[in-house]
Amino acid sequence: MSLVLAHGGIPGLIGETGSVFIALAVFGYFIRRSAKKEREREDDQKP
Amino acid sequence: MSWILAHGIGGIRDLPVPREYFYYGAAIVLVISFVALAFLWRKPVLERRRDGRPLPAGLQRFLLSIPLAVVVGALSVAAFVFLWLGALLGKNDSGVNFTPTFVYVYFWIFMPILVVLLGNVWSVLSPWRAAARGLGWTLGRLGLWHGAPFEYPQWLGRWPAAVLLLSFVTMELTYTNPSDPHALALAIAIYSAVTWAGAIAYGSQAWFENGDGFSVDFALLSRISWFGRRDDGTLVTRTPFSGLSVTDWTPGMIAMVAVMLGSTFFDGFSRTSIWQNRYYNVQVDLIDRPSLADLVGQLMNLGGLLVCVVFVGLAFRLAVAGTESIADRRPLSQEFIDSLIPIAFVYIIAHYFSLLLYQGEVGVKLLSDPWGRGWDLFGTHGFQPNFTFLTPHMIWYVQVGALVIGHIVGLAVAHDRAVGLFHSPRMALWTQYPMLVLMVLFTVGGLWVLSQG
Repeated sequence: MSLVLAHGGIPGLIGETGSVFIALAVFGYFIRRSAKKEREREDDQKP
Repeated sequence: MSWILAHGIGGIRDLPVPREYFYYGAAIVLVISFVALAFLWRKPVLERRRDGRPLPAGLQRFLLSIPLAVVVGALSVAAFVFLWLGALLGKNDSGVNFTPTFVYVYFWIFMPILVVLLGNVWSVLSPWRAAARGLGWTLGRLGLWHGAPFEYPQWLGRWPAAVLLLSFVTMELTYTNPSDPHALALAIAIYSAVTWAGAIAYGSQAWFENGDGFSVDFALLSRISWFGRRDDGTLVTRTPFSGLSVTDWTPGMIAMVAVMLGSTFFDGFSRTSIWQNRYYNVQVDLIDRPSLADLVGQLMNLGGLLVCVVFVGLAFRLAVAGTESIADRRPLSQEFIDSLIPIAFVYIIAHYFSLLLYQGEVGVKLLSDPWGRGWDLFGTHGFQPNFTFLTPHMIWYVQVGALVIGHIVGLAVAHDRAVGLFHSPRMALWTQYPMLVLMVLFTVGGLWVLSQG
């Protein structure tokens, strides 16, 4: 319980872990978008 | 079973900086390594170095000679029988019986180090394999054995090995008294029966390459080594870690590696105050019913072990799903699973090296009286172990160093695969972001567990 309390209780814990997941999701979205463009560019370059 | 607690670091208290700084520091080191890999490591190097350089012909002939295999195998089987009889007939006290120390320290901790240093020597040292080969050869000469009746099914892959290894760690980590010599004798008998039944059914080679838990575990760890063996049997020296550059399509690989990693992780977690408090609360609540308390305690441990194993497997699968999604290419699990093997090895070092050193000393004393009968076979019975040469801080710094180095190697192995798979360096970099998140998670999680022990 002390671990949970140290992170601001259940809401704090959800906020902390949630913000990490949201940050990862946003980062992942942009990486996927860039990767898709890179693949399309590679496909265009193929004879 | 007081000795089994010896590998706890006894609580780190007075570190020069708060322990959270170690978590942040380790994560930053991993991120910096990741960036450095992206700029400095642009072509795959491990795969083309895997074949290595053959050992000198004379040494090769000696190491692969049948007389050597027969002598080593016979000694191994003799030691196995002696230790098993010691557990069965010797004094039923792990403080004086040598077998528990041998199994949990010399075998379970030292053998991984040995295979990483010298290559897969377990394939020659394994008493189960030596006995199966010896018996098969003898029965064949007598005309009583004409080969295994069944072909090893491909779909079974390494699943039997994962299950057998899980059964061993279940005994070690969930049973109330895992170092009880009689219980250990029974466990060894059951494991041996299953192993030999598998060897009889599918043939010794197929079984020990795929189905036997310890053989597969040590074979995977030996991929780290600078000594290896080509597919044609040639013994070689090679670049360390180049053995990890294989695409292993064998089913059950993720399960196997998850058991290797998850079991060590649970061993650490089960020593944290979070787990211990819950465990002892249950024991106190059931103090009037000791049998039920034992059962509930074991079920708690079993549940915790399985959760850790499943967590490792799922975390890896999730990271690879991220990689597959970025690359729009699947399946990729088999390409990257080997990057977890160095981590499994450093978890062993980080969690158990103090146990190896401390209880290894006790083993010197027990070796002279392995059955606890008052013998002094080697004159070491009076040996006094020194339990003070490692301070908690020394142990902690070794643990931090081992975990960080192991995860950097894991990142490098995965990066090497990625630059080989994807032609564009940018694509290779992007596909490795999920692996970086996974490595940071495992590093910080591992450090947190160790610091709470």
